[in-house]
Amino acid sequence: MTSPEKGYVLQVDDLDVRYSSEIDVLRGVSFALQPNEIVGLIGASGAGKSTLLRAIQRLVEPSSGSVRLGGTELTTLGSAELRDARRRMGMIFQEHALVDRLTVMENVLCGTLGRTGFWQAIRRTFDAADVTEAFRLLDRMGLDGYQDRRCDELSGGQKQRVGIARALIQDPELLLVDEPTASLDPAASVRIMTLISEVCAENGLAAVINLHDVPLARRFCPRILALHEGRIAFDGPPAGLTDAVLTQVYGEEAVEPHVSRRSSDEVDGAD
Amino acid sequence: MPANARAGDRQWDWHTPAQRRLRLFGTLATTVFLAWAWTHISSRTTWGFVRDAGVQLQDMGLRMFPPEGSYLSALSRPLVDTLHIATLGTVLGVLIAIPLAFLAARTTTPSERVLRPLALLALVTSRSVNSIIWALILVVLVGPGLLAGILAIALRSVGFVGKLVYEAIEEAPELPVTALRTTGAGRAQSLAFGLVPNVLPVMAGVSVYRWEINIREATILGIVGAGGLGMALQSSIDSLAWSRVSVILGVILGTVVVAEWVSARVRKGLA
Repeated sequence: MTSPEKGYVLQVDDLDVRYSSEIDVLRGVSFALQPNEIVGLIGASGAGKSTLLRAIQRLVEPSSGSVRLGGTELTTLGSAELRDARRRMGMIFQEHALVDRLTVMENVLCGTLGRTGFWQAIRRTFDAADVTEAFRLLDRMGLDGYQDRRCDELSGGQKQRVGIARALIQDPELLLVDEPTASLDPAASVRIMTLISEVCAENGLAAVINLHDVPLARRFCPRILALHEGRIAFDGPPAGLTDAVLTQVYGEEAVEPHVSRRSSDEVDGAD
Repeated sequence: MPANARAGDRQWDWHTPAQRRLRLFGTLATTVFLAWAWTHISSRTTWGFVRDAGVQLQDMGLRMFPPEGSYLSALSRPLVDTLHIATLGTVLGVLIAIPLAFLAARTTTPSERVLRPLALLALVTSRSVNSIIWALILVVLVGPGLLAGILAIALRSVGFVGKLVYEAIEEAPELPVTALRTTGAGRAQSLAFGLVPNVLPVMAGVSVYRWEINIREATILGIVGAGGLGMALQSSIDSLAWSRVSVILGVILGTVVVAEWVSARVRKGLA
């Protein structure tokens, strides 16, 4: 256990998640994030990547350990304080997790629900400043003019951009990104990862990005965290991801010379 | 004949020998049962009446024809009453059904132990009693007339609308709701924005479909004194005024055709 230190955006210490008494999903996970730090979280399916992000948000309750956001210990918060803490962490999901039958603008403004009153939101009388910010974010996402489109009319990449705008309008300190490219083609994946890196840099955000695609993680994340069976098997820069490390994380098939580091498809096969 | 395919020394059979025996037995048992059922029905039927049916039909048809056209003007009031019973009953039923559906759906109920079983019981009770039985009870409670009809229609509609809506709620995607919770939105907000937009078309479609059914049911409620066309039908049959009965049946047919057309158009537009 490291002691709480100022200067970290996120500090996870000795985190355990147990779904039932027999299966440990996460075991003794510890890491800390500096402001602006972007961490790529890799590991085979079932290694605990999504669970780690969900446990930080407390969508899954940790069984022991500590998660600190800034100076706030999250694991002991009551529901009202937890809502305040969640507003400080923007989450981006694999399947966009948009409300398909609402418009782009409504989906983005959903990111402000944590600070907007219930009836105010129902009557769609959002704060003018939030609407202005939503327009600015849509412009930034390249979705200029899309505000009144219904989300089920958008392409996968466009939906993911709306999801990013919804997370950013929270004005978060940290982004938790769960497989942002899982439903996108390779070119769209690179564009979305570029966009996420850029907005992190522009807003001084730290991010934990869960990726199944090792080449993408190498390319976009200055620091890689690899999970294997719920434990951290590697924590360091991409250059340290040797064949030996990848073998440990994914198994031997992932690092045969002719398939490693070339395209995402082969790495998928190790799942 | 058993379906099978042979490929070299390997054979694939659609059914196992045990399944084939079971199917043969099932076919024989069904045939024997149908033969027995027929002789049973036959022994309890007065075939003389059945042989006479053609003559009776002709006789009744002659008494119904020509329809008493002048009676049509006297039907406008009962027709309007019928439409009122169906429409107001549907509105009232839907207003009760939707809160019950949220209590009954596993994904939204505040209490799985207490409120969910109570809500399910209310929905089953409503469905298990036919409108005409509800009307019989209500005529005793609130007296004959429109109010009894409206309440009967509403009580029967609650179960139908509530069941279909709560099933839609349970099947609606959960991820958008989870995503809104990660923005710091409260439970009510997350459901209002993450779930309700996705089930709104079902709510509207089921309500219109129930309205169409209620038009049909409201035409006969008058038989037990609950107002509308059924009252006119009952008094015409009682007084053997068959030329009026044919006018009423024609009006009912026309009303139902129009209601079904409206219902189909509205539901098509909701997709």
